[in-house]
Amino acid sequence: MDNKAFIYTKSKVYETRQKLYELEEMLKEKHFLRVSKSTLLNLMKVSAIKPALNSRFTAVLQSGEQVVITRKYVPALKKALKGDS
Amino acid sequence: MTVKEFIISRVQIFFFLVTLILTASAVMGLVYQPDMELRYYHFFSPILIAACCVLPTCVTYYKKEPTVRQYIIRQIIELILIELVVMFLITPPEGIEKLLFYLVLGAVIAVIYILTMVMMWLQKVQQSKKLTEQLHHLQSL
Repeated sequence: MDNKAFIYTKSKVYETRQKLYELEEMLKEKHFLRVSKSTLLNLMKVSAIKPALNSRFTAVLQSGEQVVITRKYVPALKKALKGDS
Repeated sequence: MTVKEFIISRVQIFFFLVTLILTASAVMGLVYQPDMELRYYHFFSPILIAACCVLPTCVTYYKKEPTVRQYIIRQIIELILIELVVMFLITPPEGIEKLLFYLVLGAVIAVIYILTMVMMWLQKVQQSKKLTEQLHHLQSL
C-alpha cells in the first residue's frame, strides 16, 4: 500500500519501505512464505490450515486471525511443508 | 489455475459423475421401471452423460483468481448448463408425465451436482488436515 509494507507482530505493527519480495528473499530461511500477492506469512505462527471456497486455503494464526492462501501459492506451501524449502 | 490443473479437476469430476449418475439411474429405474431389462450397451449411458456434463463445466475455468461472488455465480451457471444438457439428452419414457419427469430429473441432477461438490470439499478437508499435520511437524523440529 503506497509503496509501504506493514509488519504485524503479536502486539505491534511496523511500517517499512522495503518491498515484499525483498522481505521474502530476506526471510525465506526463517520459514516465512508468500501466501498471496500481498502477504508474507510466518509458518511458525500458524496453528492450522483450513479449506476455503474458490480453491483457496485459509491459514489460522495462533492469535486467531485468518489469512487467505491463494491458489497460486498453494504449491509453494506444500513444498515448504514437505521440507523442500 | 493452469490448464493442466483444470483438466485434472475435470477428470476428477467426470469419475464422480459416472458413479453418481449410475446410482441415480439405478434408483430412478427401480422407482419408475423396475421390470425393465437392460442390455450391455446401457452401461455406456452414465459415461456418455458424464462426459457431456463435464463439457459445460469449462465455464468455470479461470486464469485470474475470481472473487467468491464470481465463483458462486459461475457454479450456478455451470449447474444450469448441466441441467440443460442432461434434459436435452434424456427423453422421458412412455407412460410418464413429461413435466413430472423433468422436475424429478432436475432435482436428481441438482442432488448429484451438490454431492459432487461435497465430495470435492471433503477431499479438500483431507488435504487441509494433511497440511496442518505437516505444519505441526515442521514447527516441532
